[in-house]
Amino acid sequence: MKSEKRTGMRITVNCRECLEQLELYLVGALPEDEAAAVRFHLHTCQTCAAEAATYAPIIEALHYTPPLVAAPPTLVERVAALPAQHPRAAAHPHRTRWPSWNTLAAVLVIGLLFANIWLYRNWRTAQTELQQQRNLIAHLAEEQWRAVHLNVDEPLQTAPVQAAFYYSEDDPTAPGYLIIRNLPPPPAGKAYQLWLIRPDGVRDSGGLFRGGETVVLPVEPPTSWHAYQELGVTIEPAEGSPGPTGPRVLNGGL
Amino acid sequence: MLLLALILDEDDTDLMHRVAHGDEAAFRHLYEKYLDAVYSMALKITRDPHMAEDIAQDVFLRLWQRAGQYRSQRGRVLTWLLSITRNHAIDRIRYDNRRPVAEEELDLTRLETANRTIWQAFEDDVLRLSLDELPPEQRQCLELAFFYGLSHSDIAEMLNVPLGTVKSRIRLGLQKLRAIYLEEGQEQSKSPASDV
Ligand SMILES: [Zn+2]
Repeated sequence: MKSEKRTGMRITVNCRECLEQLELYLVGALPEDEAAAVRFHLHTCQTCAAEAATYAPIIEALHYTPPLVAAPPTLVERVAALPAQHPRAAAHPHRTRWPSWNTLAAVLVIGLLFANIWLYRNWRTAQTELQQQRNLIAHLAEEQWRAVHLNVDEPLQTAPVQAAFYYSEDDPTAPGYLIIRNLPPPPAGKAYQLWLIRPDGVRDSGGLFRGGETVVLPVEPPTSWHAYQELGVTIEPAEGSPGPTGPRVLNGGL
Repeated sequence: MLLLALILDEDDTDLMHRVAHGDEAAFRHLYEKYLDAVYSMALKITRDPHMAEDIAQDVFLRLWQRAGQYRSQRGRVLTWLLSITRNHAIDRIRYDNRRPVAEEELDLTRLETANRTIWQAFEDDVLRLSLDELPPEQRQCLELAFFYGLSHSDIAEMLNVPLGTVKSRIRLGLQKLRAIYLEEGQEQSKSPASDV
């Protein structure tokens, strides 16, 4: 359903059109839809990408041409204060919301004294994961993350499923995150599989996952997110498929 | 402050790795080294010292929180910071719907170091590129796009010239810079090609 809109937006350019617009693209003078078409072409055409690469040192050097102005002392103070104002989750992994977890843990420990220690450990791991998920979701709410909302296909339309994929515009080679709420478990012996769809229709697997109240799937792009045009999720055998075979449940354009 | 950090000359990639693990001393080294450059880029684009301060602070907050996203094979740390700063500042002026104003409106002469460009402060192997090499009209179009985020049609409207003229000024300008600095200027040290 999205592809009709996309052809109207000139999602593809050929080599001649790409090279005609290359300098405009590199300095940011193209409107976003035209820039996207050139970007896609550069990710799929080595010849044009090689031409673009000849400009890389010039584009880099342009960043260094503004007049150098000393940062005001007030700014230096503000930046110096950042680590204290924003303690790092990684540096203090167990600090966040610890008192309430502590209370809960104490109550649970009594209950578990006669139960299996293994169960308790699992619970702790789950709580840590839950907190990590919350941290991640708060982090994804920040501005440089681009959110792509996924459409829910027919097999899941009775469930209150919400799904989005997040990736960094600034660093399209960094991992993206697929976040799904209220995803029912897949049928017995099956799993959900994410597909990354290139402009030429080739599908790369983005990973397997199961249902849950909140699914968080980190996805490493094989190259760059800019190399992909769409995402899809299908129901596949539990061990996964080399290509989609089952019904599609989620889809969206990148 | 900047000089001291340059003398210490710690490896940036190493510093970024340490910041990614929450090392405050490494963070301090990086901002002592690069805060002026980041502020200068933000000021160049916004022409507003207060907004430039906010942007520079945001960029260093991102550095503090997300140094792990930096990939050394994609280019040097300062280029990464300047590129984030540029994107952020362009977003801000677009959000505020502000037009670029004349250079004279910002009194840069008050500020002691404004007679140098960012590259002059760094003993680095980035191309020593000067936009003065270009005819003024090519330089103007290139800067309006690169530093102020204006599209070719915005520029054509602003300068009241045909769209085709703007396109060819930008193309010729960039081609000329490449010819001067890369094809003829072999004495210039080249930087490794980064992923554009
Ligand atoms: Zn091509």
